[in-house]
Amino acid sequence: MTDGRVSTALPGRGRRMLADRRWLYVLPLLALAIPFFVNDYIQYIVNLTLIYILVGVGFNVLIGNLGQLAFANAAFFGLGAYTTGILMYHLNLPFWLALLPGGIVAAIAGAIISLPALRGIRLFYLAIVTLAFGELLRWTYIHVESLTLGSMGLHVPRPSVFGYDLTSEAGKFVVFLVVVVVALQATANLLRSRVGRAFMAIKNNEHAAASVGVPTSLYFVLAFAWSGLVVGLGGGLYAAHVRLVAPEAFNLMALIMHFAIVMVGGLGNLAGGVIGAIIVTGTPELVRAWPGMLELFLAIPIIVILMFLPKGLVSLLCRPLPMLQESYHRP
Amino acid sequence: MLAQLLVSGIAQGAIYALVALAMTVIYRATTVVNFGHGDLLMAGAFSVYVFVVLLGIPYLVAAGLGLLLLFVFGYLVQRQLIQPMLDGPHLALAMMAIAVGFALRGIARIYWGREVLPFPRIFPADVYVLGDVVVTSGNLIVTGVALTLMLVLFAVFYLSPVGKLAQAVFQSARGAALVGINVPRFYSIAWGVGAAMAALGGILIAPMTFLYPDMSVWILIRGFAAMTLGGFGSLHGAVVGGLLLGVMELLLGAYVSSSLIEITSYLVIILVLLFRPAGLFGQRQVVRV
Amino acid sequence: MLTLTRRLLLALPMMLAAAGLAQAQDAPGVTENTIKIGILAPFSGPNASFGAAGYGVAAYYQHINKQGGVHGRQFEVILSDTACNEATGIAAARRLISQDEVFLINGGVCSGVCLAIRPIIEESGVPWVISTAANQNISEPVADNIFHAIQTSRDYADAMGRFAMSKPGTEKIGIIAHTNEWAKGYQDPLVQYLKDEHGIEQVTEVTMERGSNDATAQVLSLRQADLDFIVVILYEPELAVFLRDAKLHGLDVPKVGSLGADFSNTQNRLGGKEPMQGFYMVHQYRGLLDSPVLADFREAITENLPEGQSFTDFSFYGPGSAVAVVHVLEQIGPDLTREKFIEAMENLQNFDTGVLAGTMSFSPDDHQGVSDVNVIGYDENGELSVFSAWGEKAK
Repeated sequence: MTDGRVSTALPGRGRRMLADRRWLYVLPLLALAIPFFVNDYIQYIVNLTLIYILVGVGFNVLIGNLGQLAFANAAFFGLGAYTTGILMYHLNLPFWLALLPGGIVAAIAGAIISLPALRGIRLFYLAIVTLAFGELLRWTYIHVESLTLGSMGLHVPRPSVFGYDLTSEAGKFVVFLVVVVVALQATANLLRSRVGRAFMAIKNNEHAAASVGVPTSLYFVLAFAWSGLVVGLGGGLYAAHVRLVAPEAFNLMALIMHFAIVMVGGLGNLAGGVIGAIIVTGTPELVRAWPGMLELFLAIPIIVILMFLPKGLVSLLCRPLPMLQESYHRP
Repeated sequence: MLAQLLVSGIAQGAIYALVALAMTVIYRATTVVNFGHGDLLMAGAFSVYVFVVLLGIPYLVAAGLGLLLLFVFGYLVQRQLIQPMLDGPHLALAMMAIAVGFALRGIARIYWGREVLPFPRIFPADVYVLGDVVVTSGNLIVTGVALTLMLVLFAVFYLSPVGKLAQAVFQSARGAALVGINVPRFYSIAWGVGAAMAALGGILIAPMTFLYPDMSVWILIRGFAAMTLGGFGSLHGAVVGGLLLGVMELLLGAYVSSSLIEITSYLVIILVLLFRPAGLFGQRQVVRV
Repeated sequence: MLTLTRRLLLALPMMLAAAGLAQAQDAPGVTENTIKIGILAPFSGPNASFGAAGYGVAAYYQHINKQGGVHGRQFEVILSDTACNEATGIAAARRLISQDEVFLINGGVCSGVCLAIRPIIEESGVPWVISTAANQNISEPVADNIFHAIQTSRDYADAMGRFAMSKPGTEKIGIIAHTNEWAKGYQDPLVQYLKDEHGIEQVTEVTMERGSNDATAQVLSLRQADLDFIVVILYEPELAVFLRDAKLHGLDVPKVGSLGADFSNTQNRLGGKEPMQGFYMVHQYRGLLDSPVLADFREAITENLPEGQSFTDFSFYGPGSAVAVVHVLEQIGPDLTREKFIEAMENLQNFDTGVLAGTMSFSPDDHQGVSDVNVIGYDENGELSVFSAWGEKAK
């Protein structure tokens, strides 16, 4: 196996199996067994990971697939969380009705944020303006107290789905898992369709894509909106999970964490978003024995991965598990 | 009150101008925006603190050592961590700069994470009063340094051969390499200079802001705003942008609401990039396809 | 042949049995010779400087361990990092509850995190003695197992308001504060107090951003408002900047500040007494920290800090609650359960911690045990003193 030619080490059927993406559908089914084996603490972390899977996958669409430096993720996350929280708190909407509007508001914000990009703003300029937008939103959360309850944070009432109270971590897990699977499948469908190919074309050479007739403006808006939708849904789940939505949770530190998820996992790869989320959410828990070293434990692996594995950890896994590879992502 | 606000605004803006100048140097030389710049500033200030307070080295020597240390650090960071990434996506570059900054912050936090340290004074805290207006020696020195640096860099970039080198590399790295310019070495030196300037900024600012690992977060955004307002890549733009930003913050803060001070930078960034992306003195970028 | 796998499989039931025997417990977190205490605090992230409070609490338990522990049991302290972030904080709390299975939790520094954790701890039944976080809503409405063993932000706000109003002729009040939940926790009750107790409807409020190094705009605005007293709700670096700029621009109005900073440290930063004249600070202890009254306590903490941790003013902002916990555990005796602990806490009356101002008392309806707050500042002779009201020293 050292020469990297997997096909000579395994029989043909094994190779085909590892490349068959349908095995990935087994994972959520297996995951349903998790609540039976773990305590509340681990279940809580698993639920948090599901939220960050949405964050990673959504962010990846924008910076990995479309390839734009749009640092709006914390903004989308916050909008989703606040929208869902506000609907539940002020209007007493049950969680299952309040979740989707969270995603939709963030999607609309995405479309709005894409405007500077449409006017030709790219690269570091785009990064800075999207960052500014996110911080401006955070300032708004702090000051529009009638809606958001300001810095004290919004206490989200008990989430319920079709009348069932989601009081336990296990209960939340099932609901979150369904949302994540649906969102992942939808994103996968999008990325593997002509829309996804258009994203890839724009990322590789925007002007060439435009010159062969790809409506780049439309796909820009679409990518931003889709990213907003998925990340916003993650925000809605966050509101139900932590049940206290406060402005400080959506600041620049949060943005850096989202970055870490995407870069560590794999830029532009769906599985990369998942892997990154698992690692970035799990690492702080593994290093609890050394309080205070958190920043180094995050920064150093990021530097190492950026230098030696710029395509993220998923590039390591793509060889033995070809099912993780996407046609639009070369490890 | 207005006069005082203007004077203090300029003094405050001079700090932003210093940061923006350093970032502009790196940008002009390498086309990379250093997202970890604020932490370089913090690192510079912390190293001088270590030299002066823990090692007992006299102040000016320590300051010089600090500049040298950061120069070497910037040089090495560019050479080892940034240079290999230049062919990759811009995102990875930005991320690497952020990660380096983060690591610096983590290291500072391990040693000094629990404390907010007073920084030794370089200049005496004299106060000058002119009518209604109060000015401190710190204000004057920072403003003076910012303006001087701007003139020095101006001379370097526009009047000296180094400047021609920088222009060549900026316009076409490949072309510059073809005519024999050692482009990677140039990049590394530019980062070293930028980092040393960050250290200078840190040393000047720390007596006023005190020393703690997160002291630089708010400065980075102001630096961006100053660069955006003045026009990315323009030296005098960075200074004018910084000064204007400082004045705007104070005017808005005193006359409208103090809660606007923290978002002035963001508003400036968004408005400028929406309506006049080139800023005051920048040039419209023409991209050849 | 006994392969490794088979050996492990054989050993497994023996290991489990051994683990089970080792855990011959009377109550969760309690064994024959140990009591597990969980400490929640931000040990990393931008608010890591407040984590010193958590280390201070740990130091106190270590001090007690050195003296033989409580009824033959030594304290096993488990530090759990909240990073001052709600999601991480909940993970930290859940870990202490479900994985480490501590007997009780003594900690809590960031109010926002504590508010997020409250429902989880309440549901778990694990006793939580709050050491540092001041927001009164953490312990209100009363939850059986949650005790506020320190003054609340409402106590501080009332004290600041009372102090300001105790100066004769005070009518116009100004507030300068951060915009985060910590500051709001002080500002809202203060505004309420001024309105309810003194009928003051109009208060001049300005904000200052965390991390900013200039307060010129705020100082000039406050100067223009022609105020009688200013309440300052800022963390230490910003407090120093504000006092410096206030002196520079002649804002000579008396000021009283909240607990985000340490008086002597701030003075060191400012380089002298002068900028501190006319500035008073609320003080949670019964005397000045370097006074003989608190010398033993100081020593207990500084000598026992965990490896590698140095002592800062925040190291003291938590262990006062630990004094109460140890006292209650002693009272209960060797037969320890969580229910007994809760009952004993609820019946604590007029307990003198030897550290905190006043005494500590709980009741089934009131889980906020400490409400006395002192104010410190310079008197007319330039001596640092403890005041009970404007111009009146505490006894």
